[in-house]
Amino acid sequence: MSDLPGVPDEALGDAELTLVDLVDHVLNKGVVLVGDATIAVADIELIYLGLNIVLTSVETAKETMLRRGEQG
Amino acid sequence: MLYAYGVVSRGCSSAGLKGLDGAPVELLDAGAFAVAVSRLQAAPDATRERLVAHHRICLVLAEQGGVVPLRFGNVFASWGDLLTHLSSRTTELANKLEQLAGCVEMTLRIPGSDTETADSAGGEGTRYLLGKKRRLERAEDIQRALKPILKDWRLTSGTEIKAACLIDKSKVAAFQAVVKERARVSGPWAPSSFV
Repeated sequence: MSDLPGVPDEALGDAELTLVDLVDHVLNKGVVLVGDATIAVADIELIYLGLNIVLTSVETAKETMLRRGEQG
Repeated sequence: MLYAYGVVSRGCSSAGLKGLDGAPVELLDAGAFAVAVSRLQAAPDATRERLVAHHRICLVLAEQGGVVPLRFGNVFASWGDLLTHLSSRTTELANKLEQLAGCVEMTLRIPGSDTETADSAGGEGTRYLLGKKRRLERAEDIQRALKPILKDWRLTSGTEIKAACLIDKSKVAAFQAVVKERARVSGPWAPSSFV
């Protein structure tokens, strides 16, 4: 149940999609005012964070390879 | 120490808002704007629960008046320390807050379809690029359809085609009606892709 007005729980459902978005919006974006705003990942649930980074790397690698293939 | 959620309009109210670890949210006056903070004992680790709390506070404040969301993890020893960090960026943040007033962000993902990859000849690379091209075209179609309500739009194409859409908070239902069945949507979020 939502404990805040105007924030439906379904907006934060358990869908994988939403968790990835949550991490992306809150950890990956937003203004950083302090240089040492370090993020300690303490919760196992945030394994998605690692997963997302790995997927991005694989994707980047794949695109790079495809681009090279096209040029070559 | 002070944990900061975002820079907010001075008209916002934090009455009754509970933030990280259930700590009350306070709005401290920084002159041109206010800063939403909670008093915490120590710098918080990023847990899912705390990310949700950070998100919820930013969204409530966005819907109330306007917020420039901070990334999770901005902590300060004191109010004076926070003001020092703000001082060189006051104008920038005030301008940003004005731009984002009354706005929320929606995230779109443009899915691929089986027919896209099945109907094309060529190798794996060709199919991949063709599929991506078609998804980009679909994203452009959606952007055109959304034009009357979009304030800003940021497209990223990596593993998936994703778009951050800035809209007025009153347009969420209209937005969802346009994109329904054309893309996967999440939101509303605080406008963190537009800071």
